[in-house]
Amino acid sequence: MAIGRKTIRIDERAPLLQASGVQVTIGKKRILESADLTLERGELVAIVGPNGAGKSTFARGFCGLRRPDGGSVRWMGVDLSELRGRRLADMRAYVPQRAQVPAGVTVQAAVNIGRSTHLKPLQGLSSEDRDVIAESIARARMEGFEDRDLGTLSGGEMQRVQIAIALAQGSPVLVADEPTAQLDLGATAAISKMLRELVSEGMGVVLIVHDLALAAAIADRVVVMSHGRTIATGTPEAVLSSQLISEVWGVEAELVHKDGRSALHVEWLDHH
Amino acid sequence: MAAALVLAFCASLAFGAVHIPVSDVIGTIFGDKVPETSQQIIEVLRLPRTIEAILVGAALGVAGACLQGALNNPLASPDVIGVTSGAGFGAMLIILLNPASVELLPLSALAFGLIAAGMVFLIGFTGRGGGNITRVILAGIAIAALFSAATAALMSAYPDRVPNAVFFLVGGLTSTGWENLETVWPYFAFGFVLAVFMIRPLDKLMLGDDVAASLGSRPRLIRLLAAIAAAVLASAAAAIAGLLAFLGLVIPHLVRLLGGTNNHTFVIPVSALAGAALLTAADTLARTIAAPVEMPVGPFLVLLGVPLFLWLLRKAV
Amino acid sequence: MSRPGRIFGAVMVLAAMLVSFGGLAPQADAAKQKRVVALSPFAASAMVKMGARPVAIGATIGGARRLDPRLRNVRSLPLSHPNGPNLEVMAKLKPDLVFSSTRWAKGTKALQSLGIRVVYADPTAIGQVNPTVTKIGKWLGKQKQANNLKRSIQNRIRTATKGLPPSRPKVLVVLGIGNTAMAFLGNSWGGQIIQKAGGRLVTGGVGNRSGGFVKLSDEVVVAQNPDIIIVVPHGNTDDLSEVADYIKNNEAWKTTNAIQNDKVYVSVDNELLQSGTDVGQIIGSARSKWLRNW
Repeated sequence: MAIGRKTIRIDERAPLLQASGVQVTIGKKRILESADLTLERGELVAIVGPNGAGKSTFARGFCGLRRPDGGSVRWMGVDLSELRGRRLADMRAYVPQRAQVPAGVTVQAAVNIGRSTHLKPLQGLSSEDRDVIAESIARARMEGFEDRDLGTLSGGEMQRVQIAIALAQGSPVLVADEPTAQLDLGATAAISKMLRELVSEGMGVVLIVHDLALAAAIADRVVVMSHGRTIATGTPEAVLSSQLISEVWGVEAELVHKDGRSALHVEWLDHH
Repeated sequence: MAAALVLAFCASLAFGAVHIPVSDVIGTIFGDKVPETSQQIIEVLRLPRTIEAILVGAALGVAGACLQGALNNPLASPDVIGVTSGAGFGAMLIILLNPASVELLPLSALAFGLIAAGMVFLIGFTGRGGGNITRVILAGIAIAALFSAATAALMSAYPDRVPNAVFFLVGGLTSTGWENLETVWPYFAFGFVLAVFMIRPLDKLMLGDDVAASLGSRPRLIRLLAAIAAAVLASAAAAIAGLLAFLGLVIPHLVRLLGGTNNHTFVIPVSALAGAALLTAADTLARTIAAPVEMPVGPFLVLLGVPLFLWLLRKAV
Repeated sequence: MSRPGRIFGAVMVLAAMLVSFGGLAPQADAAKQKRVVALSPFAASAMVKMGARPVAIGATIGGARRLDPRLRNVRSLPLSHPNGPNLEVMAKLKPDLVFSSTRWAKGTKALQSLGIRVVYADPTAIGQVNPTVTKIGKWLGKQKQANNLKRSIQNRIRTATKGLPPSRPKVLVVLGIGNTAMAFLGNSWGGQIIQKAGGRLVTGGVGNRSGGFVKLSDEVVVAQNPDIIIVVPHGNTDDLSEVADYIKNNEAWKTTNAIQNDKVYVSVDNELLQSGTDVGQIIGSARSKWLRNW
């Protein structure tokens, strides 16, 4: 193997992801003060919070896209600082909020690139790799789109391609930043179902979402962030109380669950 | 494209200012007995020059493709990272200031091409926010302006020697045996090998910095390495054939339009073939069209490349 | 434009033409000493040989060895291409007349606007030598001296071209060194000197072209196989042997007779680039130094 690469020890019993006290400073400004998150196998955690609370910065921090300046991040017991390149790619896949849409690339080619971490330089795709790629495309409901140019896709289709790319990476954790932000109701429901399916197969999913009703419906746990800190963690029912929503978002609202459906009843205008 | 290259290669060996029967050309290649002058012309003049055309064309095609991928900018070419003006300055130092040491011309062009690129990378890739595409491109423009100004100053200081410099500046190959290649081949080798290893990382980068990072790559590092490969290839090309930056800009676009894909797995190798074929064909024309007078290849390249490019451009949209 | 305007314009054009035609005729009043600047080396040496003295001459790039000793202490003006001398210096010098060359034609207008008359006196062919001397003589009012000078120049040429052997070696004359070999053609100054000295120019069959130089295919050089190669560096170089070595080591030309027989020479002092009144001497030295037929 490559020179200077230490062997790392993966702890199968440790949580998939354990982040505590994570700090991120950009320029001279500390964007992330202190954030914690734990993710177990077969669990979907939603990170919620108002705009500018530091949700994306936190996710990028524990995913290693922007290395944190403080706190600890461990993937299956291995410290983030020991993870680079292929090893990091084997731990988690990250789906960005606004994806670049290059023209002149087909869906098939894009998803193939997602699998490339499994290849040595100059090595081609094996039949096993091709199976994984085909399955990823099927999972993301993009079958039949393989030869379409990315430049011709709608926002929802592009979002699904991004998820297919991440799935092809074959890592046990999927971190997605607002994957449903640009989607209509039907597409949002389809992606939600798919994510739950992945979780039921033992994957861990971290989702950054704005929509509290959606978070409450699909997440096993929610993490609430405000002003660069995680301020509450727990099941949606326990955490997303009217009082917390009022404190964090400054809006009077109530989360209503009924027969597997969820809704946020918001007092849009002052009635006093 | 490979067929076009083979065709250009054969034409380049078969045609020249001096008419040599095809049987003699084939005879020389297979080591048969042919008239000594014919053998000399084929072995010492045409063959090395054809190989140079292939290498330089391929290098510029690959350099352009690497840079356009690395900087995610369709207008990127070796000018953008200062290589062209740096190499031009290095050549002028010899041609204008020290013509007696003309054998150092390729090395000087190579060295200053790399120095200019090094300065651009130093400014563009270091410090806070380093590796930002706009910053790299702006640094490139500034460094290019610096070296162009120095070149212009040299040219106005030695106006009587400028005619000798023109051939380098417009770009052209020369028939000087294997000497140039013997000096420069390690740089070609390094550049091509590095470029081959950058194909997959550049594909990742094409899907966006975040996706590349998700796949465990470091976008800044990919940019830097791909730009280094481009700088080395373009400098080596300039050392042999002067300034032909047009090739680096247009070839990758031509290839993308022809192939209908932006995948570097396709664009980089095919750019190498297309660049080699186009330069070899253009050089054959430049050598023969006004024979026994030789024209610089630069204008012919434009003459061949631009109509083809414009035709494809119209067809594509 | 209104009618009176048009008439006025026509009158002005006519007036301008009259003035310029009038100015073209040399004023023959030799009594009035003129202040003359001789920018071209040919005019400078022609002047002293006619017994006139320029107030300044153009600096020669190729060194001063061909300069007439009588010009050694004359002020020498640096020249830039294609503008010629510095205009402020010229304004201060305020000569009546400048013998220039078409090489510096771009600066001519400016000199004229300073009230300085500019006359081109720089022959680019051996056949132009006599008419140029005549022209200089007229402008200086020294027709008799001019005739003497013409006679002496032609005598030197006649002596230098005497007894040429019938066999004429093939000579390649290249301008400058670099990655391109610019070959001298028959209409260049150096090309004419070599032909007068008994050489055949290697030009690949290219006839006369404006400029007098052409980038020749190396294949043609090999095929024509020159017996002698003469390199003409721009200006003077201190490393003559280095220049010759570069040519001798040129892999492309190594099979030519010139390199095989070690007949590669470097020309100095601009003798093949810059015309002078010493045409005869240059032809003679070409024969003894390079063609070895004298």
